[in-house]
Amino acid sequence: MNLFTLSIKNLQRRKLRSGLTMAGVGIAAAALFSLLSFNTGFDRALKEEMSNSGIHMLVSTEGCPLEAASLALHGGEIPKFLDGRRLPEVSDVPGVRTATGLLIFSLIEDEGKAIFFYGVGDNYRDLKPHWKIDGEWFTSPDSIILGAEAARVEKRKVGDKVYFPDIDAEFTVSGILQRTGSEDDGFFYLPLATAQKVFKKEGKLSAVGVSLANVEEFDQVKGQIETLPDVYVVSRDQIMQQISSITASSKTLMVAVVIVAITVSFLGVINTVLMSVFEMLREFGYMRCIGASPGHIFRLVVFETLLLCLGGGILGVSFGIVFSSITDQWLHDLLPYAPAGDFISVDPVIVIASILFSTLVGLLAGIIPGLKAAHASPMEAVRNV
Amino acid sequence: MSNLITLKNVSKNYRRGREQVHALNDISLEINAGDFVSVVGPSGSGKSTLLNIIGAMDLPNEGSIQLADKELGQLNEKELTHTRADVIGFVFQQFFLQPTLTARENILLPTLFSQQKNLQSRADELLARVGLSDRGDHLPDELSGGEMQRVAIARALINQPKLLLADEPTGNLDSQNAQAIYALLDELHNDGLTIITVTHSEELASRAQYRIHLRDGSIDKEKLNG
Repeated sequence: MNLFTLSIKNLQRRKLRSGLTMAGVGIAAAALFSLLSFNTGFDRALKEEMSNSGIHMLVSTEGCPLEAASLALHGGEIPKFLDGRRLPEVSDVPGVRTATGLLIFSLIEDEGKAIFFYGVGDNYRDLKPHWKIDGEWFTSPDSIILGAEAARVEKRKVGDKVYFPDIDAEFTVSGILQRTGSEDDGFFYLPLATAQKVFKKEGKLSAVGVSLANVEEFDQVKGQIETLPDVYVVSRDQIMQQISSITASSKTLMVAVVIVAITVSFLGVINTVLMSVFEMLREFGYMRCIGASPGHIFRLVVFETLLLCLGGGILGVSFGIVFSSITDQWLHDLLPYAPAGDFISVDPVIVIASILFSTLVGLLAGIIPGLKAAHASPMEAVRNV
Repeated sequence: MSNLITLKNVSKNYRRGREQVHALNDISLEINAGDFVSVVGPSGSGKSTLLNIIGAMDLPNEGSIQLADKELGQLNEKELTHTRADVIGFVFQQFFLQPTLTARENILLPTLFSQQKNLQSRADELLARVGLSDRGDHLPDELSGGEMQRVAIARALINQPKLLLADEPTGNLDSQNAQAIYALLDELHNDGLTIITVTHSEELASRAQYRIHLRDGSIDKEKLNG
């Protein structure tokens, strides 16, 4: 037997209270784990998606090019249009490997939910090399490709017809994207010319996606494209920064939630342990009678607090790992732009950091109750009988 | 016999609300190693205060107390703690057993705080000595009052103290269990242990060699039994 085992036995005396406190710490630890995993996972997923997309720059028209770029990526109607004649001109710029026209439109359905149409050229596939399609690419001008989520919501499979009354147009599903975990899953893809026709924007484009033959020639190519009239160029890094900035408020909210959870848990632990200390003051006083020093009593209380927080940390992180797919899905739904791939993966560094942080919180939370207990008077223990 | 405890002109006052309480007034006494002393007197006469001062739990306002050649007033908190751990064994009316520890673990509890380690076999010897060899793995709520007090006495002895202080050790026990405790204290005394007990029990008081009668914080009588 030692002070550590004595601490464990003391905790076992108040199973319900210890369990609830541990659960509180666990919630904070799970939130912390998810936040840390998300922060690294989101950036990694975004970088992967950007490099997978093959788009090195987006060409749009006057206005806010960064906004146009982010709308093009996460779905949204760009209010101004680029002259379609810019597409072949951009394609002809030396150093451009692929240039594909994009026309983006949205329809508001009866339930108030927006659905997004992407008019894309055939070479759009070159910019989405990771796409896997069940069925085929566009087989005719009236064919449509559905994102995995769009197909699920519309309950359509390859070969089915889909009719949109607002634009009075019917299409045949030629292919369905396998789930990417990104915004792409929710979109409806049309041949570019068809989209221009049904949305009455013949000769117009929302943007041009550009892939370079050699990324090192970026500045040179950008400079040349910018000599074209009414054209603005946004780089992939700028798009990433834009996406990061539009997700920053969500991240800030999550950080605030985690801080609140940790603070509540910290105060909860202090409260619980302090309550136990008050209940056990006579026992501590008696331990002082039989030779315990204030340091012994302090360590005993801090061990208890550490155990509560270590247990809570392990419990919380375990839950965070077990339910990571649910959290992942929730974050994908919550965020204004969610790149493909998992945000929350089990990174040993984050697991250890979350548990260590919980333990550190326990160490700090144990100080006040520990000092209170350490000053238990042996006299008081035997006097108030 | 060598002198173990010396009190010289010890006075202890404390405040209770607005009232100044004179718990001990100019007490002087000597107790030799191996003595068995009972402290008797009415409630509020200062018995427990005297025991607390001898037990290094409290210090007098005036006078001096020497225990095992140490002047307690000169010791710092750490040294007082070591004195309580290594020189003194305490037994109280309420037993103060840890409810989550078995009888054996309760006996070993003081060793967590002392310099002495690996006393498992001594704990078993003490369990045998207090007649609880078969109860070592039982929790306190599985023991009778008498058994709990015997565990408490065994715990007080684990660090081989020079002095056993017992405050109303039979106060919560029926007469049958009290008899077992009297016999145990007699046995310990016969083995040479110095015992001071505060008691309201005439039978226990009469078993001691010396009886100190306190009244209003002063020694009223001190007589040799027999």
